[in-house]
Formats: sequence, C-alpha cells, structure tokens
Amino acid sequence: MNGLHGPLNKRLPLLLLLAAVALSLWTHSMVFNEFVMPTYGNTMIHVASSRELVETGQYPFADDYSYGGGQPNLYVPVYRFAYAEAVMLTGLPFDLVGRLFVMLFAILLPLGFFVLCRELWGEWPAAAAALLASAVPELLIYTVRPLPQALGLALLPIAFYLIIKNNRIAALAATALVVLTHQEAGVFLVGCAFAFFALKLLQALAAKAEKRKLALDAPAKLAFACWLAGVAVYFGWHFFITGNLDVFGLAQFQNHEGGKVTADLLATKAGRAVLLLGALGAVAALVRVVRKPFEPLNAEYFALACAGAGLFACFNDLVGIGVFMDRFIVFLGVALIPLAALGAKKIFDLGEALAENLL
Amino acid sequence: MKKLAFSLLLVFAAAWLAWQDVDAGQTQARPWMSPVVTREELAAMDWVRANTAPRTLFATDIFGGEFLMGNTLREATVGGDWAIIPNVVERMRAFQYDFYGAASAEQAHATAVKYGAAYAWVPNRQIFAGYSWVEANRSLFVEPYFTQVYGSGVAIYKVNP
Repeated sequence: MNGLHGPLNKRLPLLLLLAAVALSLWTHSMVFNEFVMPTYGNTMIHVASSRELVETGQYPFADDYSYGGGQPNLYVPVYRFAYAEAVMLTGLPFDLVGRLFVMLFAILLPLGFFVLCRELWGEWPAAAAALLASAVPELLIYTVRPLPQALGLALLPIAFYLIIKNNRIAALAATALVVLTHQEAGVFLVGCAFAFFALKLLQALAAKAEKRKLALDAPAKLAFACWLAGVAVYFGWHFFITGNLDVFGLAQFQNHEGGKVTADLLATKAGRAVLLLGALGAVAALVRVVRKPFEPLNAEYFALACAGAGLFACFNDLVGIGVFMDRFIVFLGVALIPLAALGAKKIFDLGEALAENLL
Repeated sequence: MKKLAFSLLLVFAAAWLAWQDVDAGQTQARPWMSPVVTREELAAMDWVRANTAPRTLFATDIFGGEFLMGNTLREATVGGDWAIIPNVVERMRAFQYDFYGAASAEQAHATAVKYGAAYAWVPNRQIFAGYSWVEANRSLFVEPYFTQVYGSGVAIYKVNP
C-alpha cells in the first residue's frame, strides 16, 4: 500500500466502507420484493413467539407453537425478544419490522468486518473485507431473510473484534448474546474462540520447550473464557427450558440434518473470490507464523483458527458427527473474509513487487 | 506510479471476480424470497382471528402452518422448530401422505383426528409437509368428514367429530 499517500490514503478506505454499506443495502433490498416478508427458513415461527410477547405480555417458554404445540420452546430467544421490542417501540407491523431488520443486518455486516479487519490488518484490508462481505452468496442467502441466524451472523465479526481487542466484559457479553441469538452461530463462535486459544497454547508450550519467554497473552485467555461462557450459557438455557442436558438428543442430531459439502458446492456458496483470496491470505498468515514462531501474531493465529473451525464444521462428517455440514458453509465464509482481506492486501503488495522487478 | 498501476490492475482483477460472486449471490438468494403462501391465505388470517380461539390447532403444510402461527397465534400440525418434537418425522410423513396425499377422505379425516386438528387448511397452491411438493387435493375434504367454513383461494374445513 506504499503507492497511496496523503489524504487519499486516509479517506479512501472510509469511502470504500460507505460503498460497501451501499452495496450491502442494495443486495439485501430484495427483501421488499414480495407482498409478505420471506417465509423460507421458519421465519414465521419466530414471529409467533414475538407476537405472543407483544399481544399478551408473556413469552411462551413452556409451550412452543411448533408441530402441534405442547412442547418446551427450546429455540434461543434473543432475536425474538429484539423483534418484539422493535414492534412495541415503533408500533410498526411485524412484517415491516422483519424487513427493516434485514436492512439493519445489511448495514451491520460490512461495518462488523471493517472494524474486525482494521484491528487485524489495518485500514485497507478492512475496506476490502467490508466489500467482500457482499461477495459470499451464502451470507446473502442467510441474511436477506428476517432470521435469528441473520442477526447471529451480523454479530459474529463484532464479537470476534471484541475478543481480539481484549475487551473482556463486552466480549463475554457478545458471546452470550450470539449464543442466545442462534445456536449454530454460537457453536461457531465458541469453536473459533477455542481454536484460537488452543493454537496460542501450543505456541506458548513450544516456546517453553525452547526455553523462550512467551506467556499466554490476554486475548488468548479471553478467548478461553468466551468458550467457557458460551458453552455454559447454552447448556444453561437448554436445562432451563427442557430440564435436561441432552443436546445430542435433538432431532437435528438424531436425523443428521444437513448435506455433504463438495468442492462445487463450496465454490458456489462461499464465492470463488473469497475462497481464492482467503487461500492466499491463509498462506500469507501461515508463512508469517512459521517464520516467526515466537512472536504473538494474534491476528494471524485468530484468522487461521476461525478458518480451521469453519473447515472442521463443514466437514464434521469426516469425524463421524455428520450434522449441518452444508449449513456451516456460511460460517466458513465469515471466517474466510478476514483472510481474503489479507489476501487482497498481498495481491496489492505482489503487484508492487512484480512491477519493481519487471519495470 | 507504474508500480501503483500494476497493483491496481491485480486488485481490479480480484474485484471483477468478486463482482461475479455478488451477482451469483443475487441469483441464488432470489428464490428464497418467495413467500410460498398466497395473498388469499393472507386475507384468510382475519377470518381465523375472528372465528377461532388462540392456539386452535389447524392441519396444515409447513408454510401454511408457520404463516398461521406467526400471524394469528394458532397452532399447526406441522411447521416450526422440530428440535425436540417427539416422533416428528412420523408426523411429517402423516401430513404429507396420509392427509394431503390421502387415498380417501376417511384416511385424511382419521389423520386429522389422530393429531387433534380442529380445522384443515387447504390452499390453492402446492403444499409441502416435509417430503415433497404436491397440489392439495380438495376432493378429499367432503362431508361427513369435513365441513367447509371458509373458502376462496384457501379453503378452511372444520374437522367433524
């Protein structure tokens, strides 16, 4: 990025961020296309619980509407509470509030990736990340509908930012918020946090073996705390609602919901640009980690840990779990955007290096 | 300046590739915007609210059922979160094949009664109860098993005792 200097260098990333927000709003505006908000993905079941809260003042904790009713309402409630709150505060109909939520997600996504990647790699990659948030087809598919998953996806980069920034209270609160917004988003978040902690622990142990001074640093410890808190919050919720801790008894596990992830599917759903740039970014991060094994390099470790967690989730059938594999492609996309942003920076640097050698 | 131009060329190539993905995302997301339910079903929500009690159970497909839940706080035989529903696969199979796809009115009625439905929701569109998309067969919903209580684009039948 040495070629860009002066005011342009300072203002252009922010202009690109504005362009990214505009692009995201445009891609998400299709939520207004039909006479009612989208219904695919069980959107209306969340409206039911929110509507009961608005119309009766009670949340149906013990009696869900699903499949004939009469069962505990296990789905985590934060999105539904927020939905009800928004309807009560604005007085607008549920349908319109659902669509406006989608526009909110459209704004949060590029902003979240921008703040995360500015912390990881600096302003220019942050701007690239904000733009790349619109280049993952699966991310649009899941955030263009008023769904808890959309809110969970929009909150993930912000939660990651708070962990890597070592903002303890906010990171723990964000973890609990994500876990209570959407189960899979929560699983992915705690998976990333644990993978980051594990990589940093391995690094510290390797340093100790070499008699180097490298203590486990604060973001790694915070990531461990977030993992612990996230797991405790989910199991607490599950117990509060069902009176047991049998998470693996859920229909999704029993019926192995989800399809196998193939290379074609991955390219179609995650997007070729993010995959290619993400691979380039991963190589760059790995090279740095290998070359400087005893430097903290939290940005590189964090980005690689998230990608590792995403890959594990997408291919969990290979270790015998076999649940939601294709449903995790969108989370892998979230993990790859920061690496793709680094990849974009490396492309720019590569261009400069090539020009220097060739010209 | 030449160095910058070289870098920008590479960045533009990446941006062009990313733009193809933005476009692909739009194409892939558009089908998910379909509401599936019809305007007539939306209009029928007023009748449901005015003529049935909250939590009344309707025999439905997944989309009709969830639309009823969200708009009227009535319950549906299928649709919603299946995580901890006992015998949920058997329930979906029943409403796909033994209710909407029943061989006779008697079988459709027996299925509705078995699952405690007070009304049957029969829209003028393809239905999906978990297995396949099929046209709802209105010839199943006849006396003495069912009595039509509302009908235009969507027919609502009372399940007779």
